[in-house]
Amino acid sequence: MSQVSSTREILTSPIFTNNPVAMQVLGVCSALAVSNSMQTALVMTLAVTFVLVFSNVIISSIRHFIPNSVRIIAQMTVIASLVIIVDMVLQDVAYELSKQLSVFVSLIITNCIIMGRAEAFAMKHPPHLALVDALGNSIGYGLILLGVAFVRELLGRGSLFGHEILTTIENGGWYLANEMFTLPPSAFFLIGVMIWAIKVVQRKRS
Amino acid sequence: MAFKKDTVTGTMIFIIVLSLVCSFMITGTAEILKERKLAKKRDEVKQFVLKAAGIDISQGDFNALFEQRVKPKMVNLASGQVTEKDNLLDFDERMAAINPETSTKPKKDIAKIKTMATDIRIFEVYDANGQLSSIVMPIYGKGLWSIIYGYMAIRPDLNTIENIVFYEHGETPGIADFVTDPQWLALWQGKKLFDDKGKVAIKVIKGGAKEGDIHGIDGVSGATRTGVGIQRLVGFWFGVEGYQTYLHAIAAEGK
Amino acid sequence: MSQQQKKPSQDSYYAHGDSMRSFLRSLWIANGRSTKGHVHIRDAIDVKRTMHIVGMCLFPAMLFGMYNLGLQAQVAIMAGAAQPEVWQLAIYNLLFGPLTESSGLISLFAYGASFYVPFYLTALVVSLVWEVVFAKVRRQELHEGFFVTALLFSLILPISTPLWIVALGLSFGVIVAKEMFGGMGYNFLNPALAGYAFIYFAYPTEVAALSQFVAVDGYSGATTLTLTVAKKLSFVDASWFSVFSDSTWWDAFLGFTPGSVGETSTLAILIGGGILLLTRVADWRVVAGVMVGMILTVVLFNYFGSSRNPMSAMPWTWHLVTGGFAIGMMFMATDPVTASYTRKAKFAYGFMIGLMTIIIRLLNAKMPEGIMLAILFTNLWAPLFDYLVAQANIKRRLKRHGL
Repeated sequence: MSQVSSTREILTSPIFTNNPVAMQVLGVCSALAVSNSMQTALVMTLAVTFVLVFSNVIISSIRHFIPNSVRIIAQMTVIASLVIIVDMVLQDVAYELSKQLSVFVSLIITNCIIMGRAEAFAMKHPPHLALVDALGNSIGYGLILLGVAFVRELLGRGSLFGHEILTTIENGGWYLANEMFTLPPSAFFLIGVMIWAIKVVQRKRS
Repeated sequence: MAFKKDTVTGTMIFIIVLSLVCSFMITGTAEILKERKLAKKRDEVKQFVLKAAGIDISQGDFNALFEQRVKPKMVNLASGQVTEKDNLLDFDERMAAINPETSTKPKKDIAKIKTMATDIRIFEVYDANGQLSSIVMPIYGKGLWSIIYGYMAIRPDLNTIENIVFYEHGETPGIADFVTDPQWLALWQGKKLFDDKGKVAIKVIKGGAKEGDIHGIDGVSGATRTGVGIQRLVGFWFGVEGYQTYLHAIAAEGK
Repeated sequence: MSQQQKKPSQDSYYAHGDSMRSFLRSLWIANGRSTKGHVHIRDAIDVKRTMHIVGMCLFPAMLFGMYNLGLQAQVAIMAGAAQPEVWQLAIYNLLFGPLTESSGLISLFAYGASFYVPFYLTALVVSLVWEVVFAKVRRQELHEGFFVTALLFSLILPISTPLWIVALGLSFGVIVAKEMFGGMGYNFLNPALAGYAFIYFAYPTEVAALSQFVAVDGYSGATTLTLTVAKKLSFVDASWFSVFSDSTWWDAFLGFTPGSVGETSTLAILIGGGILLLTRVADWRVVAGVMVGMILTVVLFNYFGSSRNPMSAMPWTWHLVTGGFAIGMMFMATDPVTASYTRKAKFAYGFMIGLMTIIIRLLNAKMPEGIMLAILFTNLWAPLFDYLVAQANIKRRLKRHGL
């Protein structure tokens, strides 16, 4: 990505054509683990957005001061601090939810999307572009995560955000919950199908 | 003076400054949230104790219920005597267990907890008529990966299990989730802790306990080690180094 | 692409087109056409021929399965169960009246068929639809694999699985395990088994319910495997040869037990499987590997197994006749696409299936039926075995030439 690329392109390309999860296959670990309900997926997206935006902006604004030999460590320090803050805030605001997300909030530290954007983009671009890039990537990540969670929760439990949409047989309805979708492997299939769909659309466009 | 980032001094200065700024950020946040966290922790203890005692907290104010029904007590495990202490609700069990001044090393550490507090906070729970209905005792110990924390409530006969809850664990997600599964925990209700000789007889049995086994709990396949860990930690806490001295003391008192 | 063309394209000798019409035509005129001009040698054994042989070989098991379905229902009804009121039985009731103790062979067969035929048709239609859709999109010819997939799939499922689950499971198997990876010949997993696994994990309660093996209401026809797990059958004193004087074993061998349509009669499967082996459609190395792996593992468990696990005392002769072992060994494991390709690797591949089957059966009380998952698991290993054999060969040849 050169300086020539427009702000608009920086924002939109990671959402679709260069989606971090689907096209670069980064951050899949968390996408598999927390996508079994809309709620956890949404909170995870927000947490990642927060960390990604701030880490990108901070790293980009101090990029001229970061010594080359310790740049990865410096990035890690910033990211890790942000993750700890997110973790603490989350435990305060939504304690139950933070338990469900368990280790995956702390694992944002090792989420490749954040490290990748810091190293590949924030180190070379001014803060306002880094901010746009972070937003774009967060939206791209969130779209996939929420998309997967939407299918998994709807088909696996018949509900969305915990509200019942398809009444399951256990609750006297007609819908037989597909338990496959509550298991992590189903996220593999869904992400696979999404990659397929995105590729097909892209090929048609070009 | 221009900042030369790639010299050794430059690198040092940068790293020190960055670390300081980041640590300020974290401690600042922690400080702001500290009070609220303490209050939350207190609420959590109250909720879990009530839950362990089998009291429905889904409606009504659990704070009031706790004040009304539950009486916390400090117990010295070695002597079995009640000790006096203020602010029992802010007592930090985990700090007490690792603080050298308030802890000892268990002689036979079957629960794999390394150090344990000499004094432990337990809760006496009374029913609506003021009669003692159960005693809630904290238990913890190592499962497969992590320390499992929980509360066990026993009935006034000091043998029958009223209820058990585990509120924190880091066991394999998906497989060892049964630790917090109400259906599995319900299996414990009504089981007897001790056999005729006064030894802890509770067992988590792989492949399922026989019907009518008053000491047996069904194990869950795939999580054998977690089950064994739970069996051991119960055995430890209700053994000689755990609450047994205290239980004998109150049993003698009651007679 | 039909024969009417004056000057047939090169393809027309070979492909029978991607339309339904030319596919149906090709069922009777495909291999009869001769090449023109210079001599070409063409082997008559192609995908279609292979698939037809497999399909034919499944017939004994299928026909017996239908009869047995009726027989088990009769046993259940004699034991006091009620005949279900379902649409499948409308024609049967019209022709034969309700099923009674005195119903004869044909009547029993018809009873079973009235359940199995809709079952199979559903599977067939679903797999055909996907085959046509993907063939159209990819502009490829239709491959006959679909009807064998549907047949196998319908034979290994409990008969009272709801038809929509059958359709859903097979769709998953065909799309995810086969078409996504490039269709016929590119699938690294057996599509029928992938569909089975999907149903198994998605609707565990539906498939695992014991009563579903018998097509009547309120009768639980437990299989030998589930009985043993529940400690109702004991093999503590049994040795592998003593079964030959045991009438229940002969029942299980001949197939007079409750179970999925295709898997009850080991004899019928062995007949079909024998033809497969003789025609070399199935490779005997895989079958031998599965048998050896199974027997060795069982013998090990017989000697060193724990007394608390009732399954570990079961002799290998029983393992052979219970559950889907026979059909899995003969028809699923030998699938040439998903099995290993080199000869030595085929032994290893079969051995691993036998080993995994017994391990799943014995050590996981929740899943007494192990071979289907064992084969899926080993499918993933097949390329690795091939790779190792090829590497060993390369090394050996390098050595021979002193390199």
